[in-house]
Amino acid sequence: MYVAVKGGEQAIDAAHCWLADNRRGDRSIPVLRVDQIREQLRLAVDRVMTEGSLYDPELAALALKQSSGDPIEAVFLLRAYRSTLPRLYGTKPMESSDMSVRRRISASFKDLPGGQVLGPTYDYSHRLLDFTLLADAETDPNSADAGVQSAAMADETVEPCPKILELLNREGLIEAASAARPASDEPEVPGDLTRDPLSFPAPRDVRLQALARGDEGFLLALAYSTQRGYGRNHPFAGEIRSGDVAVEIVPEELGFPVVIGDIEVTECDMINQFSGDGTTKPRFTRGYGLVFGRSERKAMAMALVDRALRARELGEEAESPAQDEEFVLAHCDNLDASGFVSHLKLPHYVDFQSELVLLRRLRAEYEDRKAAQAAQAEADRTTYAGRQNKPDAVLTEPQS
Amino acid sequence: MSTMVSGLQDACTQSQQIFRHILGAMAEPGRTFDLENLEAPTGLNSAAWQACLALADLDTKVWIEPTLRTDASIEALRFHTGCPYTEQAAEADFAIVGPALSTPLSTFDQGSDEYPDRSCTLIVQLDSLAHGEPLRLEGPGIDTERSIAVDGIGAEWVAQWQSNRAAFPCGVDLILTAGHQLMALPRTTRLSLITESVSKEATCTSQ
Amino acid sequence: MSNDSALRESSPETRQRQRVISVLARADTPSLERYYSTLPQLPEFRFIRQPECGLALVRGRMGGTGDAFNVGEMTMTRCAVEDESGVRGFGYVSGRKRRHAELAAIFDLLLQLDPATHEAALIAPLEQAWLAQRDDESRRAAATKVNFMTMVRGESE
Repeated sequence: MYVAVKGGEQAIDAAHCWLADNRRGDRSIPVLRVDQIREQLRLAVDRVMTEGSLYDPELAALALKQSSGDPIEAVFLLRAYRSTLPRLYGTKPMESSDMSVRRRISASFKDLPGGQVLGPTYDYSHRLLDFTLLADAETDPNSADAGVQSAAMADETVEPCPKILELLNREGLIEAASAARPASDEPEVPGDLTRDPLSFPAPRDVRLQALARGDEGFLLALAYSTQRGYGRNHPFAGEIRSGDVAVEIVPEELGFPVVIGDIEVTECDMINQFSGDGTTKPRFTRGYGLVFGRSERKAMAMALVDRALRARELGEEAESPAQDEEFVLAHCDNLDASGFVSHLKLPHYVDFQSELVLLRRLRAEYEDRKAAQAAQAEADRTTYAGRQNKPDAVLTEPQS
Repeated sequence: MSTMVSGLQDACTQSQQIFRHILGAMAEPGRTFDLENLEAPTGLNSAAWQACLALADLDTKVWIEPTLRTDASIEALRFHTGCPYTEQAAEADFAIVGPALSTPLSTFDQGSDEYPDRSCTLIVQLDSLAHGEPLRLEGPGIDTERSIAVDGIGAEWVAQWQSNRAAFPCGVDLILTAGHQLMALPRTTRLSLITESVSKEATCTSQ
Repeated sequence: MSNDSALRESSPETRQRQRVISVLARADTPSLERYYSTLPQLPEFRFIRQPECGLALVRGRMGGTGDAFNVGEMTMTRCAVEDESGVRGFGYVSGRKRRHAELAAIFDLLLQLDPATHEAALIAPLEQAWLAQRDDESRRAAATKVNFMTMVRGESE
């Protein structure tokens, strides 16, 4: 347990001052503007928005600037800011089928309605450092890029892209996106772990919320573990799409939905191994990932882990870490995790002093015991030596 | 189309000021706090309206006693706070009631042993925070005892309040309002009638 | 904007209002500001809800088509105005954009008072601009459309 302490204000001020200076770096280099981060480090911005659980590219860029580029510190800043704003509405569920697609691929079907649209992807880049980026730092980007932009524009827009898994669903080859419910059910309000603390077993809506804001590294490692055999679920990337989706709210005073804007999201539908128990026809199962921006790796990892967490529901043995709901959900939030790890830096002087006292006592007791044993051994040796001269003495075990 | 009351001009600052007053009222049960004289929708007094503006939001269900309920107040409440309005007193997070106790205190959400904080908070609309039967308050936030005389809070309230106290840590909290004044009686406060014979003495010993 | 589910299954009047509010939400603030500066005079109105920043809890669907779940939140700003006869204008915009929300609310009010003028001068051009921008994005995406050739494995010509 940590204790409250006082003092150190001057030292803290000096540390913050130096931190700000460090953040600024060499003054001969122009200062980095927030809009530059927003526009040019957008995947970092996307990650901070996703894990910060707040879609606002400008604030995420600001958080990255303030945190010297530390994504978890930036997530912390964003979550803290979020807590100062009132929640005004819950949106209607976004309809990703209506997405203005920027990228849309399937690894399960070669030919599909709407086609394979690569979009702005790193997938086919050679991972060779591009030294022109180093050299071109001072050139005017507008002149060069305008040409590229018009050359890379097709005559037609992207055709409508139906959801691939729905095509499979029409044939009954895959389970429905979620369990069928009677239409008479009230409009559902999904569980919200920012209002009600996690409890186990958690329903899938709450699990998905936790995964959506979960740490990319942690989920990526868990997803990888399922592929390496720790809860294998035989995945295919059924469909990955990125693009803008309209966000609608239904204001009380209007009574009908209105679009408040479009946000960029990425979603991943995994097609996973069959289920079926003799009484039902075998069919594919699903895992789902949805994130802000273009955090595609995170969306894929989320889909794999979502599927792994459905093990029990689908009648599978749940023995691996990725299938252990409590293990995954309780540890996937990087703010929780870094908070608890970092708290070890808080003053634990009293706790530690008591441990020290205990340790010293134990060591003293150990020394005493050793000394007693040595004395006993010495005594025994003397006795034994004496006994050599008294053959009828009773031989006893030395006391421990 | 009827016109709508304006709500807070500076929501961030004003709602925090109102909240600070309510916090103070809860910390010092029985002490009267003056809020701004903000225009309220028909059916609500200014203090009750301001308490709603500061406390109610998207996640809190609000219920208004039928005798106080007006279309204007419900519309304004939903418009300015976004709160869901409920027809069920028992599921309200905030309930606006009069002094008549037409709905017994035990009807409202009492919270649970795990989450006693989730109980209902009653906003009681009264004619005045004075001119009532003399009552003695004791408990946390009160040095020894304090006396109040709130119009409409009498023997029946004291009786129901004792049952409310007995359910501790569960139970409801009260925000008493009249005009643009408010006072709070949290569930920790003990309430008793000061009978005629001892009332003089009680008044002398109270602050 | 025919794709938006908001514009389905409602009366023509409602659909027009939805379109107006959504077009105003998607516009950029400078365009709205420019239009504002061209207006000769505004009707008397008051704020019944000052421009206010807050959050919308963003929901998605399991598998894109199933039950809802909460993905995270987004910042948004809203504003409401009312004229002397009680007609109200509302603005709801994504992000922290007080002035945008304020102008959107004022224009929503104007659109109800004089639909023909502001539809032609404001809404239609804004909508066209937004659609054009979306089409450009889509044509850029279409330029990255591929036909993967499956190579036959383990065989030679």
